[in-house]
Amino acid sequence: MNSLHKIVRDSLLTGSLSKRLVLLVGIPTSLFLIAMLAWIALRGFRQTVEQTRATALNLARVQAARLDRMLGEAARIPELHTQMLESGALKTEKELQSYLAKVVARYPSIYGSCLAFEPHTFAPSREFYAPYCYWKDGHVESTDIGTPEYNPFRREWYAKPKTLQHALWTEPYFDDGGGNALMTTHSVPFYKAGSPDTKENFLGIATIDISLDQLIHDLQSIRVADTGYAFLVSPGGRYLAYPDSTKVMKELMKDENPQLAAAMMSGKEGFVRISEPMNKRDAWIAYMPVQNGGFTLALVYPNQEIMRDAYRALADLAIIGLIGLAGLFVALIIISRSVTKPITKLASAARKIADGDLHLRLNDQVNIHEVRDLANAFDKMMRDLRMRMEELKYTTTIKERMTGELNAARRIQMSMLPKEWSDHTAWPSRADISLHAVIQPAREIGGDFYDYRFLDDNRLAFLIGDVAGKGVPAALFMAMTQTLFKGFSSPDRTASDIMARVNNALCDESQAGMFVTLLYGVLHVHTGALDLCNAGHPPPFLIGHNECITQLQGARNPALGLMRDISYHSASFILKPGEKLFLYTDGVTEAFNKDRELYSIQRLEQFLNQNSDKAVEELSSGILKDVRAFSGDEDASDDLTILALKMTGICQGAS
Amino acid sequence: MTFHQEEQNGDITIVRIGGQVDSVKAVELENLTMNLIDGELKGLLLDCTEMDYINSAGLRVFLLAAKQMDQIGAPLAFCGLVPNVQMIFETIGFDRILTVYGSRGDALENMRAMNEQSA
Repeated sequence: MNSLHKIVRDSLLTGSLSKRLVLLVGIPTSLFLIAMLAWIALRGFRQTVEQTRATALNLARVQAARLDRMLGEAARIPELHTQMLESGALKTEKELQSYLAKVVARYPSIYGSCLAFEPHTFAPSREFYAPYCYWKDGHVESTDIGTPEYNPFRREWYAKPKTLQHALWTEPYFDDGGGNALMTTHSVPFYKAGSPDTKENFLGIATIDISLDQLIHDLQSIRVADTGYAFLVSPGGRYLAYPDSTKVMKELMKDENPQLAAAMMSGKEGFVRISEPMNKRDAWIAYMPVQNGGFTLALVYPNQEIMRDAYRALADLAIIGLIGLAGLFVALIIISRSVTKPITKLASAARKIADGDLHLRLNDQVNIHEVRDLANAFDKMMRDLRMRMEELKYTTTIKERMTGELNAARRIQMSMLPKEWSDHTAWPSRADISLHAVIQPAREIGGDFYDYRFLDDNRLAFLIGDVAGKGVPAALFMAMTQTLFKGFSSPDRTASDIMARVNNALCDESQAGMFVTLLYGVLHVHTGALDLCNAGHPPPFLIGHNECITQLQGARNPALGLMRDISYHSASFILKPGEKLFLYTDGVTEAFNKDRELYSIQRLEQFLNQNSDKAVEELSSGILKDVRAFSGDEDASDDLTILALKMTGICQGAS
Repeated sequence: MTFHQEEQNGDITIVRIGGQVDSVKAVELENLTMNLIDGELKGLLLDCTEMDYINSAGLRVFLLAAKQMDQIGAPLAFCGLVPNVQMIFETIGFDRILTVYGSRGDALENMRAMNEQSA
């Protein structure tokens, strides 16, 4: 079952549409049509044969009956002779002679008649007595064939009925007396009057000779189909009437065609298909026995001829069928073409589209609804695709522009940050401070920032800030804050004073709930006195000697931009030579790893502890590397900034 | 981050915020909170008991919410800050500009009292 299913699936339901149509529709229809034609043809042939059989047997019966009647009439004449003799009406040879001549004259269909007597019976003085009357040249001649030379007793026509004691027809023969007529003789034995028909009472034989020429002529005029013919066979199996006269009486049918001979000699009527004797064609032969004479009449119908109409009808049907089939296959191919052609076109269009040609037009007229739907869907897909492409191009352009602008903004933002400490060639005397800062925005631009500048010869102001949020708003707010600090910082103002002023300025501008956490410190580079003001920022670490890490908590103030008119408090520390200050934004401690764990202050503290002796550059970039390693592939969620500074020593000129 | 608005408890709308609010989630928090705040609001209590982390971006949303609520004249309060968050609030100074209560009960009691006073 599975294998059948597989065959159906693999061979019938796969492949091109035209192949499947031909396999599933064309071939079954053709087979059906051929079977139907064959059946019709077979029925037509059978019917034709039946009709021919009926016609042939009918004709044969009629002709056989005619022959039978003719022979039958003739056969009554010898019977008449015997009755005459037995009645005793004929006494003398003369009377007998004239009677015989009269009878022969009366029946022109008989050729001659004879009465042959046993020795010394009718004419007691004669051993041979056989008066014979026959037609010759239009009148009746009389003769006596009872001569020792002829010796009728030895003749078959005499001896056989005598022995058999009943009338019989002799095998036809060519008359050796007059003319070349084909004859047959009917012989009837007669007996003494008033005594039983026994051998002892046997008196003689009465005969009648009949010429078969007329009969044969009549037979040959029978029309049997167009090229058919009739023939007559003697009881001995010789042709009596036959189209080819050279064979008449010469050949025995059973030598030539034993099968036909066996059928015909059976004495029954029949209709057989067999090779006909004359031209050896395939033929149907109807045969019919003729009782009188023991002949068999046969009518030959050449198969070719009787089947001609049937064959013609079959040919017509076959031609019509072939035209129909051709039409069917053409229709199938047209249908499959009409389906596959647009689909093939669609397929090639799809390839072109895949190659990027979105301006293809599919406006071909398709008449198949399903395919038209497909083509319409395809058209729509292409239009949509084109639209999407345009959109994509547009958004890409916008994005590129945005990226370009963001990059420009980033450059501007970076330019707002101070130059690298080491690049400040104008500050060579500040060699007692080393400082390093790194910044890494989460996006192109960010909200983290730092700054450092000398307020005067001795005091270094530095700050690190983190605007809440990130991206463009944070960057703008950062720029504002950075600018405000630049504007407000002055050697005369304390850290807390500057913070308060910047805070108020930011509160005036902060509409979007922006705020910034910030550490602002002022360091006396010679004394190490540090004034630190913390506005909501994570406290910095002080890395002292002996790995002593402490957080500089100091006074706490709200982040900048939260509310106006707050007084900011700063705290004072002393930075000893060799001590380092480490400032950072929450991008460091709040970096996540893939397990959503924070880098945390603890990790930072641990790192600082382990790297407390490192230079500020190594320290800041080391932290950056450690945070990156911690967060792995996770996107940096926040900007990240580190500022580290170190008191390298106290200048001798310090006051 | 989770954001559950609870059944109306009297006049005060209570929202439970949970999980971690980082810079990415802050955008979502901002949308949810700003959609919630309208003129009908008689008071908003943000219960942060289940919130174990918030950064400055998230806090900015709180600040925005505070400004919005201030404009419509309805109280906004926070309660249930975990120590971590409490520390950030304090560090940034939010404890000085926002109303923070220890427990939800305290918060509701005080807020209702304030509403009655203003009424």
